Amino acid sequence: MKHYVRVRLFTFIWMGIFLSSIFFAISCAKKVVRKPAPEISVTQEEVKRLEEEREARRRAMIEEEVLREEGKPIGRYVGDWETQKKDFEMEDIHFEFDSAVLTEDAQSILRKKAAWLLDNQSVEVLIEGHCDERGTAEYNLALGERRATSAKSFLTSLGVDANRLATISYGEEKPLDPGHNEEAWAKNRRVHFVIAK
Amino acid sequence: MRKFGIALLFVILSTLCFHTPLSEARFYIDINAPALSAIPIAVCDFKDIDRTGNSRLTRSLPQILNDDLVFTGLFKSLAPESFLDNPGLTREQINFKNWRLIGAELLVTGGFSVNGNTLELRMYLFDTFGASMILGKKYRGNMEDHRIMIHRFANDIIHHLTGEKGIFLTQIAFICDVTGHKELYIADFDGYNPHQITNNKSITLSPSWSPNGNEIAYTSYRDGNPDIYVKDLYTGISRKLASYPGLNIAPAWTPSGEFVAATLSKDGNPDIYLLYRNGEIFKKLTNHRGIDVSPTFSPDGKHMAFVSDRSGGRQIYIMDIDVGETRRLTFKGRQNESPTWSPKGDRIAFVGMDGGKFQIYTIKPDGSDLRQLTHLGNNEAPSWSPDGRLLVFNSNRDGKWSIYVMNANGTNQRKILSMKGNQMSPRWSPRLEW
Repeated sequence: MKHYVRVRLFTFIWMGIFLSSIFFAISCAKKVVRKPAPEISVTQEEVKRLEEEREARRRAMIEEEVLREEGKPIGRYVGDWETQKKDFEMEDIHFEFDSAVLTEDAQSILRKKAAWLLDNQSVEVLIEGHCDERGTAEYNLALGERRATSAKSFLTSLGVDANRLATISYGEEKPLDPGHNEEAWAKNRRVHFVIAK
Repeated sequence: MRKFGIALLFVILSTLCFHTPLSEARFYIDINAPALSAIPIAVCDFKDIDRTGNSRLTRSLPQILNDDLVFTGLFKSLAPESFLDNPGLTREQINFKNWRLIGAELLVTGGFSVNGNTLELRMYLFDTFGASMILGKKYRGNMEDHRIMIHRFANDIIHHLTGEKGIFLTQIAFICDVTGHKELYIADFDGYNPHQITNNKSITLSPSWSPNGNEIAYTSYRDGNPDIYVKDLYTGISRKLASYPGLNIAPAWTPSGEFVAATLSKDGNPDIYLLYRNGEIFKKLTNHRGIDVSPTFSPDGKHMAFVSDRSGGRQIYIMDIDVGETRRLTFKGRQNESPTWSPKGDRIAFVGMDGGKFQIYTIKPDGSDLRQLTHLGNNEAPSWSPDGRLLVFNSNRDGKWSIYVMNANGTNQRKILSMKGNQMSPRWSPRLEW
């Protein structure tokens, strides 16, 4: 969602620069009698350069997307049924401080979970949102819910039926690591998955 | 517990030698003076009037009164070793010169008699410079309620000297994890007699006193989901107030006691709602895609401070409830939480992050005059005494989380409880009817 907004924002900014450049070019063109020509050509060059840059950026983005698809195939939970279930539950996704945005790693784990859930349609899952200890219990309950909801939305966007996914937030109440340092906090900022059925 | 106290305490309040009515009373202490220095007071050993042989009480009873008065930060007590005299109870039996000489401006004398389980207490307060009695009272009640009798006299002393009501019949609700679960506890304002109130065997959070002190709202996972409960302190019964899908957290009573504000996420986003006392929704107060939690109200109920991430980070905002307009209160740092509005209305205490540590600050509701009150360890969850002169909070400055009290200007920070486990989320009660 945020990523999408950012892309849109960039497009708007580039369009804005492009349009204002043209406007500038036109308004300068009217004064061409008095103004020396090079300034116009500089502007046109500028426009061309911006366009090329934008094209380059777009190409870079497309390429990056392709690499990502190729480089990180969707993982699988393997082994017997009990092992698969255990591995599914054991694998948490993690977050930045005060953020419910899904990182690259989190997204690839969620793709793996979605694939498994689509293969095992009878499974229902409780998605638990957790936070590190910093800040109030109350805010962290809300943040934990955000994290659980982010994970749920991602799974449903990949085709998992929302009715199979329940969420709960434990905020900072159930730390995985009781430590009071960045290492512990990083472990505790997580969404945990429990197979309810 | 409270019921117990009221039922058994037969207090006979007889004013022994009457003082001037309040309207004409001279207030000895101007508590709003900018540089307030503690007034030296001497509290004498209490006399065993009927010589019943309860020598233990001669020191333990005045000690309670002494501790009460010192707790306020308004008084400094003189050491009994410095006393030149062992005075009688009443004015005629006191040589005031001996008290002026050691610097005592105020003098307390007292006496008790014990008959079975009944305790009768007489206590007097004197102005040593005026050589006059300010206050005298007699109380009778069950022995186990002796603290309540003395707290009442201490309340009267504060009332006569300052014109404001005392806070010695208040309590502090808090969360403690000593059983392995976070449960709700209550102790007296001075940390005396901490006892467990809930036995949910689950996570219990965010206590909030009703304005009349009869009930405490809190969040618990007792039934799996974070729901809001209200505990009636007289009957001991907990009822479920809000159990909408998703979050039901961070309850706070409005000053009228008519509503409980709480964060619900039933519509997908955590917003603050006003709930009737039966849990039905009166109205939605915040409507923003951000997180909105931790409401606290101005004493007139017209404004609500709360925490939101609407402009990034966690900051405190103030909403004019009738108009619906919201403005940002805090701008220093990225994380400011736990707002709590002073009962006087003039300041808001909150927790801000400074250099990776959490500290307690106060600020005026217009955003000016920011002051940092704590510097040692992490300090969280401030809550005002009902007179707005003290703050209770929790700190891990000594390793584990425990409960501390300080003056509203940050001076005189001290631990009030020594219990096992961690103690969190202290909430100071309103004045209680005892």
